[in-house]
Amino acid sequence: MSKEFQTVFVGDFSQCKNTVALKERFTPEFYKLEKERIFRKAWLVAASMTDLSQKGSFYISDIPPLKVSLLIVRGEDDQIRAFHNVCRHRGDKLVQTQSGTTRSFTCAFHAWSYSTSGKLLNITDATQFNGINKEEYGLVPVHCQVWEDAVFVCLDDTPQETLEQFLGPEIYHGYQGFSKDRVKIADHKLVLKTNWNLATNAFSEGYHNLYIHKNTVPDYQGGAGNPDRHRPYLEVGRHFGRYSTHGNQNHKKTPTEAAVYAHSKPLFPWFPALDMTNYPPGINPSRFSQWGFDIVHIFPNCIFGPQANSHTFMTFWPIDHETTEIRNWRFAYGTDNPADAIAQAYSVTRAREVIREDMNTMETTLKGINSGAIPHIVLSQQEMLIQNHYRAVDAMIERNKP
Amino acid sequence: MTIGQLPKNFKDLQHLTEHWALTCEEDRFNRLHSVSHQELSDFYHEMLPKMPVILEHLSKCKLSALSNEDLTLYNLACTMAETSHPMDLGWGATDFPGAYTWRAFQFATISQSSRAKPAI
Repeated sequence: MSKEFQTVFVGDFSQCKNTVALKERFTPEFYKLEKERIFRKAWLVAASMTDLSQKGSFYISDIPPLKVSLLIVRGEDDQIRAFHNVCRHRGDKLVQTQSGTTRSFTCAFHAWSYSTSGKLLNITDATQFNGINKEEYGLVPVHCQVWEDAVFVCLDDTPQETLEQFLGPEIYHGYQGFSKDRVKIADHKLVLKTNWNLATNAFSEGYHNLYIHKNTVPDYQGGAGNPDRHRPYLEVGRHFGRYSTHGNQNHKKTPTEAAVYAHSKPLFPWFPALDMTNYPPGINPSRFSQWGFDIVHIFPNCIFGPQANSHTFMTFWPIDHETTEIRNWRFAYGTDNPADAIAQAYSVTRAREVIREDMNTMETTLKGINSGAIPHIVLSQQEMLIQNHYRAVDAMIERNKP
Repeated sequence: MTIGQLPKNFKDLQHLTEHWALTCEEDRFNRLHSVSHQELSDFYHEMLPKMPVILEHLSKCKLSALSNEDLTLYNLACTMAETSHPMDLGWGATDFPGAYTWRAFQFATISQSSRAKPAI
C-alpha cells in the first residue's frame, strides 16, 4: 500500500480545536461582539488599486457590518486616502456612483464641494453660515493603508496595530510586487442568507473539492499519489492561514479550454509546472513542484487566492448575523491581445461556476447548524484554517473586551 | 446586444451576431440562462470548430484598437467562451444541480480598456 500524501504543517496549532460549537456563534448577541470587537478593530480589504489607477480615481466601498460608506480616492499627490462618504454640511451621502475619476466631489444636496484630498473647497452661499471655519470641515478621514494591489481600512479611532503588524511579516513582506501589471477582470457581488463565518469557511479548506466540484473542475487538483487531494503545505498565523494546492499535472482540458488557452498564459483550472524563480516567497511558500494555487485567509473576512498568472480577493461581509454580502474580485495580467482577454474571460466564468457550487452549501449549512441537531462541527487537519479562524475570532473578542 | 458586421472571412457566422455577440459578462450570463439547451448546443457546435481560426485572427489585433468588425467577432468569441461550460462539461442542460442560483449574481462593469491598462 502506498504511503499517504503528507501535508507540511507550519505554525502554532496549540490553540486550534477540532470541534467547534457554532450555533451559539450565530446569534444576534454574538454577532454584536464580532461587529464591535472584530470588524471595528481589524484591517479590512476595501478596494483594489485597479480601481484607483490614476489621480482622481475613486471607489465607494461600503462596510456593511458597521453600516458605513467609504470614499477611497487617489489624490493629486498620488496618495490613497479613505474618508467617510458623508457630506459635512447635513450628512447626506456625498458620492452616489460606485467608481470613477474626478477633480473634486460635489454634494448633490447643497453643492458643498471637496478636493480629492478631502479638503472642503467651497460652501455655497457661504455668507449665510455664521462662525463656520472651512478648514475644520474637510471630509472625515478613515485609516487606510495599501498592501500590494489591495487597499485596507481600519475603522477604529486609533488602530491597535499597523497593517504590517496586523498581517505579520510572512504576509506583509511575502508577496512584494506579485500584482505588478495585474488588472481586475471580474467583479461580482451576491447576498446570501448565511453567516459570514460559514461563507469565509467555505473557501478556507480544500477537503471538499473532490466532492462538490465534480460538475465544474473534476480533475484540477491532486494526482498520482494524492487521491484525497491533501494540501502540500498549510500554515497558520495570528491573523492569517494559508495553504497550497496540488495542481493535477494530468488535467484534461475541455474543448473550449484547449482552444482559448492556446493563446494565453496558464490560467485556472490549468496548472502546468512552473519556474517560480521570480515569484515572491509568499507564493507557493514550500515551492511545491506540482503547485496549483494558494488560498490565504486574511482574518477576518478575506480570502486571497494567488495563482501563477492571476489572483482573487473574495471578501465576506456580514449584514446581520444571518445575511452575508460576498464580493468576488478576480485579476489577471494586463494584456492588449484580444485572444488573451478571451482566455481570461473563459477562466473567470469557469471559476464562477465553481464558486456557485461553494455558495450552494452556505445557506443549507446555516439552517443545519441553527436546527440544533448537532452539538458541534468536526474539523480535520486539512481544515486547519477553519480551526484557526475560530481561534482568531475568540482571541480578538477576548482581547477587545471593554 | 450588438448587431455589427463581422470581418469578411467570418461572414458565415453573421447570423449568430444578433443574439450572441454580447458585450459584457452579465449579458452573456443572462443569455446562457435564457436559452434552451438545444439553442446553446447549436451555437456551441457552430462556433467550436471556428474558435482556433477566430483566436488566431484576433491575436494579431490590439484590444485597445479593434475595428467595429473585429469587436463584433471578439464579442461573439467571448460569448462562446463564457457559455461553453454546460456543453464542454456535459451538464445536459444550461445549468446543473448543486449550483447556487445564477440570479443572485450582480456584475460591476469591467471596461474592455481596463484589461490593457495595468494599475499604477
